[in-house]
Amino acid sequence: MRRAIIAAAVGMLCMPAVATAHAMLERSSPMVGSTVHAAPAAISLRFGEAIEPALSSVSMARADGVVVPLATPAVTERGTVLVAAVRGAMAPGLYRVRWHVVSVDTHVTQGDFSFRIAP
Amino acid sequence: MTLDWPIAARAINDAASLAWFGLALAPAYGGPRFIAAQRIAGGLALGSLFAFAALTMMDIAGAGGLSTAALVTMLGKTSFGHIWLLRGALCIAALSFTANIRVGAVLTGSQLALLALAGHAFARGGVIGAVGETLHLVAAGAWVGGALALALLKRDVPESAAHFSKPGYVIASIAPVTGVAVLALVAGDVLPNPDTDYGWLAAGKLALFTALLALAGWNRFYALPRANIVALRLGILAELVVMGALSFTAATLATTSPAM
Repeated sequence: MRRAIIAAAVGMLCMPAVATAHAMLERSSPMVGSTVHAAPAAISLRFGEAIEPALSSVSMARADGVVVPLATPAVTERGTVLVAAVRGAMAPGLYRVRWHVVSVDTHVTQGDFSFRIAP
Repeated sequence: MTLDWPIAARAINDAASLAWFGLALAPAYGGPRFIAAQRIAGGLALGSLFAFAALTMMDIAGAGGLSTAALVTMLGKTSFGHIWLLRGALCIAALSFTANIRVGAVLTGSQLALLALAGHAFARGGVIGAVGETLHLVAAGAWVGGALALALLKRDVPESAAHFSKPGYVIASIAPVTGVAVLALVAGDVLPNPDTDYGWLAAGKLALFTALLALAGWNRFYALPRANIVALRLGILAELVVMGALSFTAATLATTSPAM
């Protein structure tokens, strides 16, 4: 009986693996791909799961690569929203936001999106 | 066919934690007491917890490698790091109190219940999700450990199985209800979505649970009344095989996004 239990347990561990991923970006402000008419005061990212603030980050740069400084991001709304205040001036143009988060169930997700400030 | 080490470590940790709690609980309702088996399950739970935490931290650290600063941040400044540390401490404490039935059951139960705070149920469903998942884990643990205790018995199997029957009805009621409730909370529907891996895995888990209920019915209503020890032993072994598959499916579900 004991050998059968051990053999069954080992067999189950050799099953095929499947793809994994977790805290997905559900909404952002400014919105993904949008054109806004005023520089945002903050970048806000809403995820489908609660995230770990200590392991989550967001950055922003202009189309020419110049980085726009952001404040240390904070997590709000039961841990699902990452908010970072914009510290630098933002002229009209294209901006790219990059984010990297770890959900409270330990899974890493990252991505980027662009938005434009109209002249 | 590849072995996904974090999923394997998680599956072993889930199975060992469930079995450990169930074995520790068994004497409380008149079941057998297996101290050595509890220690083996406890050692497996602690070892696989360490392996899962190490593999997960290396995965989070990425190509840069796991630095001391990253290790301190992950263990000291994240909710999952705190849960790992607490579960590890509970494992060590429970291993020290294996001989004490009540203390052992409380410590192993707490160690098991903390799994609920590091999964989809809590991440997506908050406190309600965590409560549902805790009830699900406790019921599953009592079932797994009860079946394992019966499988390890050398004699008096029908008598011990009869002791397990009454709590068995409660367990077999709580486990599916809480399982479906958590699925609805996490995936947004009680019916698994066939367009996603998560949906297929959830459907697989439901199918395995249905098979488990059928086997439990076979044991309770066919083998036990006839005191057919061979049929009872085969039925219990089959239950354990299905429970192992359920643990692996649950571990894979825990590392798969409901949206994928």
